[in-house]
Amino acid sequence: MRTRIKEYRAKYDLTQEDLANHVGVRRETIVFLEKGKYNPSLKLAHDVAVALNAKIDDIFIFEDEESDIVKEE
Amino acid sequence: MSEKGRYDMLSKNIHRDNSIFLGILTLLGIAAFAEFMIGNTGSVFAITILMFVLVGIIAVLRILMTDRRIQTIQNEVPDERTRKIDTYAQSKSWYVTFMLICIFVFLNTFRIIELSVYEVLIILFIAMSWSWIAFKWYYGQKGDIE
Repeated sequence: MRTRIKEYRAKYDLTQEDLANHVGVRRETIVFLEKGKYNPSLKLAHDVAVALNAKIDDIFIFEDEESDIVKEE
Repeated sequence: MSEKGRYDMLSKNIHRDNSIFLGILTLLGIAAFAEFMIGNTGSVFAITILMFVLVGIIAVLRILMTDRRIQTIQNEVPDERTRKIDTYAQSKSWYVTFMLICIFVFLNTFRIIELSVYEVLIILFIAMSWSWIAFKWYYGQKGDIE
């Protein structure tokens, strides 16, 4: 899984700490989310997406989904 | 003091607690090393066991209390990753303890070694608390349980 959290954080000028406080998790959780090492619950994924003013699909990208998009193109 | 300030202070305290904990672990390592190097030092062995038990108790209580304190200060639901890792580490440590019990039953049945009740309890206590800490640390570093 790949995420675009870092990209969106930069867009809204948010630090990892800000985002963590906003969604009610520890900063480490955001770090692991950004690295794609942690699979969040649907609720956390939704909260992150809402905090970053985006859709869940835009933030979290699964590798098989990515290859499907490439095939379609 | 603001909520953020209190949270920062708590984070610093946790960091300090971790340093103390690492210091205790170092002392424990030295005691264990001395036991192996010098040998026949019953008192060092007893102190080592005692330290293992005490550090186990302190570590488990600290993990529980730290998570609770952070939750209270943040006034939010606990961090899902921490909760997930804690639960998984607890279940893994339960498996470790269960396997040890199976081994003890096997060893005792075939009279390979005979342990007293006290020895078995000490081993199980250390195995359960330390394996929980170890699994929690391992999955914490890894990021997720998968």
